Amino acid sequence: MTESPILFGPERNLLGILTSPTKANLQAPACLLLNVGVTHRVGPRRLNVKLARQLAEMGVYSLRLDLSGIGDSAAAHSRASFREQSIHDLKSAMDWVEKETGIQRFAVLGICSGASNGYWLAQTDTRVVGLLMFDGFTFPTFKTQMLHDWVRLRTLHWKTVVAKVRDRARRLVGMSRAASTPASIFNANSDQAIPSRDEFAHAMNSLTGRGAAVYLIYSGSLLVHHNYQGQLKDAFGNSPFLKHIRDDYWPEVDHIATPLAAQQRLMSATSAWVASISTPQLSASDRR
Amino acid sequence: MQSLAVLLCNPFGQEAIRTHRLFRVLAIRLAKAGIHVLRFDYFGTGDSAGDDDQVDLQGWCVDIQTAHEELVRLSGSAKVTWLASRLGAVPAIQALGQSARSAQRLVLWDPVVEPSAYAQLLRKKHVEALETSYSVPDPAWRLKLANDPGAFGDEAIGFAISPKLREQLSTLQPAQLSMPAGVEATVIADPEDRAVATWASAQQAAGVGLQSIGLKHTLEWTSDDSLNAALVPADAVQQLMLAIDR
Repeated sequence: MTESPILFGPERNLLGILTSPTKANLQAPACLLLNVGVTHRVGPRRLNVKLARQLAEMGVYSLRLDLSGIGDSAAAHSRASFREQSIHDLKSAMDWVEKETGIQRFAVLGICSGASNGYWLAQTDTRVVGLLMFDGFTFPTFKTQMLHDWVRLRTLHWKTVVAKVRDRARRLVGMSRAASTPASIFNANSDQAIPSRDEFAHAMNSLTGRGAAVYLIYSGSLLVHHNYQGQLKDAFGNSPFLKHIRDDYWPEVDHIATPLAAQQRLMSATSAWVASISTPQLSASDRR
Repeated sequence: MQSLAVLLCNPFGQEAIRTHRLFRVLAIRLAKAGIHVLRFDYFGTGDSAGDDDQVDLQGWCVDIQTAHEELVRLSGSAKVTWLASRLGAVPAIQALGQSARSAQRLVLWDPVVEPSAYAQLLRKKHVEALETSYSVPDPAWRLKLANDPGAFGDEAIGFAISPKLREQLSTLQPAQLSMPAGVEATVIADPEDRAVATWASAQQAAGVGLQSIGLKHTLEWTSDDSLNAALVPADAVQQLMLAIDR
């Protein structure tokens, strides 16, 4: 395995570390490991470094990079919005990796804001054949609200419980309305554009329709927004994409994988998923 | 006149993640002022080779000396200052005077001078991070922290603490962190940090040319707070600039 710092992009302002396997599996997509918030390319808890090395052991190339204005990448001179600029940057990253390795298929692995950036990129570039979103967009249901309330009530004094139940009763109508509100996301990402349910379903149907693999993982930090296995099915009914994606709810793993055991779980699942999409030309149903 | 060169020595774990942007901003400003700067990651940290469970203070000491040599080679400057923050201060002090690969000046920012107390702080902050990050914190964490001195000693806010590092933190005493004579030092720290004040006084009493500067700033070192915010307190950058380029 080798790790090479690279400067790329039209302004050569973007810095990334290419992790190259000793023996490459050219059937595998190259992976892009994205920033989380303003944390630089090593990732929260240095997760991107650990993951890149684990992927290299499997023969997979990866690039962990800093988007414009984050980490060691200088801000771009364009007037593009943050989202537009992120997409430009990530396309430049894929261009560079494609030129360097010849690989034309990519998997994008993102946590929180990285998940959002991966989502937007995947819709605009068909080279993305895999999208992993850890704590990406969430779509609460009536059951999500009930479970949230139940968990919270268990931890409160009985007087507070009575007051909360009274308050909840008064807001029953509002509550059912809340169940049909657009997606929300963990507060770290609140400034990002959030797709509506219809937009998200359309995007997922489009991605899976073209054969891209999608893996959505939700952590135990999102109690308000996502708190049970099967929530996506309840939120999206019979939308076709549900048959072609994988989704997991992990209450024992937190938003940025603080315990080492949580990191291990996230990395194992990610590596296994990348391995599962490392054979080209699979049909969408084969990837389940 | 020979130009100055500065080596930036990172803190540990999550504190290093939080310092990255600040050190980049500082490095750019120093470079604009004509000062050579080298930022680097110790073995087992950041972009460098190795895993976090391979980290230890002796290794960091050697890494600082290696980085020093590289800085001198790249810059051609023999006039080198080391800026070390938090736990980075410990190997920086230990590396001083150990070989020819050493700084003429040392700037310490909120240095850890009581490693065993720092180890306890890491345990406490780790549990706080868990409680903040999980929607449903486990009450057993806090009980375990209070009742089991060995609990939460091998990882801190997402980073492993190797048995060797753990041993070094628990046994290293402030008196073992003595500055050699002939090295100038500036210590920038919270005026209310009694441990640093006591240590600095002891160094001065031993004849070390050490200047203390009081600075309170908004950066909370050992925390996940403001994960999504830029952590570059202007007052800290300014004070560090002044201390380095005086």
